[in-house]
Amino acid sequence: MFCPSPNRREPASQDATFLEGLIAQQQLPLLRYATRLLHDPERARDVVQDTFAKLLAEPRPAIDGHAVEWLFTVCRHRAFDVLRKENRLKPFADGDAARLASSDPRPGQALEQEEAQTAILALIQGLPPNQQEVVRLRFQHGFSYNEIARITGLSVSNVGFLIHTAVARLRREYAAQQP
Amino acid sequence: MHRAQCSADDPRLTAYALGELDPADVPALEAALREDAALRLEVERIRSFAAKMEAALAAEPHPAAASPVRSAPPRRPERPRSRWLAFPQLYYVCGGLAAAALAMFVAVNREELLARQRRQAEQRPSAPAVHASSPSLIAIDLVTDPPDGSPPTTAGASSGNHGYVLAPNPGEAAFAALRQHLAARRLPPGEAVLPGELINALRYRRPLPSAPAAPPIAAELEVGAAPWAPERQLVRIGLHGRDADLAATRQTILDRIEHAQASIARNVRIQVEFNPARVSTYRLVGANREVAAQTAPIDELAAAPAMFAGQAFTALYEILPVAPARETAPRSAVLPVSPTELITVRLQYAEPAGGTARTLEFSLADRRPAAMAESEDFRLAAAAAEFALVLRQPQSPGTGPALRAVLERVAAAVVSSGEDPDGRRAEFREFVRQAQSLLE
Repeated sequence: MFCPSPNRREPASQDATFLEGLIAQQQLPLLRYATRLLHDPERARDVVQDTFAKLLAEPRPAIDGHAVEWLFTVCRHRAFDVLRKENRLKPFADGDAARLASSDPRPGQALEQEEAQTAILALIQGLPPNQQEVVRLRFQHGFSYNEIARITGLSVSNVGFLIHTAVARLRREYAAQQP
Repeated sequence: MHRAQCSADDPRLTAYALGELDPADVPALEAALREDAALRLEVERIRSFAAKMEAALAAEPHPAAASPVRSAPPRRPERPRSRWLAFPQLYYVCGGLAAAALAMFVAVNREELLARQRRQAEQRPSAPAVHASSPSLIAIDLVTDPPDGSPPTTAGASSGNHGYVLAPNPGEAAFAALRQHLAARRLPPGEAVLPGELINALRYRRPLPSAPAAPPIAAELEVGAAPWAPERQLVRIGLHGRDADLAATRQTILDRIEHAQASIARNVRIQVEFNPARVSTYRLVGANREVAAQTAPIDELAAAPAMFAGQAFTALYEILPVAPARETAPRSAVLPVSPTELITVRLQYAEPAGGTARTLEFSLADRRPAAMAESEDFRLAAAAAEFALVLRQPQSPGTGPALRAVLERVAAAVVSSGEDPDGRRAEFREFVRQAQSLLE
């Protein structure tokens, strides 16, 4: 899939500009995404490098119109390959949530805006990994339900259910912290 | 969908609130909403909470971005009224930015390069300004957004010693939020629109090195008219981390990414100083409650800010110039040596290897806007700021005409540049157009 066709014409400078812009724009979001999946910034960097290497080998028409989604899909596959090779791949389970949750924001106190953001982030980190991934893809990376479905291989309704469940839980927990 | 089929616990309600519902299901759900006030309230609450989530996630520190070493905190500036900004260390969209900035760099034609070099030379007087003994260099009053918009009162605030930290990858977050809301034919919640993020979402040209052994950070300063207030001016401060690699072939992109991820300066701090003989008041555009919530006394910032090759950062200050009559009157015995100087920007940084401390100074002579046409970058940054300011208060009178004017300026900037490698300028123009149609 990633072998460039021998007949493909040499990239025009326009093409290089497009790729450079795309890489510039998506490098940090991809690093963020990969680091969340791998819990390891160094490996995440390798995965993002691999992703861009594949991008450079991919015929432009194959990615036109959905390049960002394509990058996240490839990045996700690559990250899961790494996890699989290292036997670190565990099924997503609610059990991880408690471990990932950070310290409780102080309940019963008026939360300043900064504290509110910190509290929401802590709650998001307490979500089960599968909910957390789609929440981040939606609210941090700006992907639509349809795009998230294609990136993760889940059905659109499954994505909708996960996000609905996560948002409902976050609202509930957030409200419980309010005075 | 029958009314009884939609409850607050229906995933379709969340999908609708987020603009994600299958269009085929929308009429039925909207019919249910018309009949049920509780459902309508639920939709509003989901949207409001989603905006909070977006804002929180946009401000989340990058998991891989923690700087390794925390250098010794810098001495507090002795001039109490000066304002220190911490370089937004998390905004290293970076690495890659080197590549993209490069694309624009190559496209700039030679005449422009020369003109730019001349301008830069004019903007950098060789003698450093001597301000140190002046007791009242700047007024801290904010021109607008009083008083709840002021930074929170903390230990650092009394000395004006606050860090200014942009959200990680502000462009991505700001654009993603705008895209979602406008695609759903609604305005984003005002508090979610941050001018500083929007300004930095757009890419600007980077200044050229002035000498072969140029310092790792270049600054570009410019003053022009504030488009939203004729009596005020805007000062644009553009900072760019330099990289030496100028080969623009596809084969070296990956090398450049590697190269670009290396920091070129650590512990970067920016001091902005206004000449009181020229500036009566100033404010950092976007320094309102939301941004204030992200500021912290600079010595308490979690990580030492670093700057990366190709990284860029733009800040806009709105200033109220001193009235001409006062300008000519003798002000005090401690007038700055260079009375025509408007603003001085000092950068402190540590070299990545060895940590030797360095200081760079840039200053800008006061020129009245009439004498000088603003650059395209200036107009674009000002348009982004104005757009964000309008969206923050869409109910204010004059919003419609303001947006029309913004649209015209953005369209002109996009057309005249012809450079838009990441498509953001064009998308920005589309945002303005959509917002305008929603407001009118």
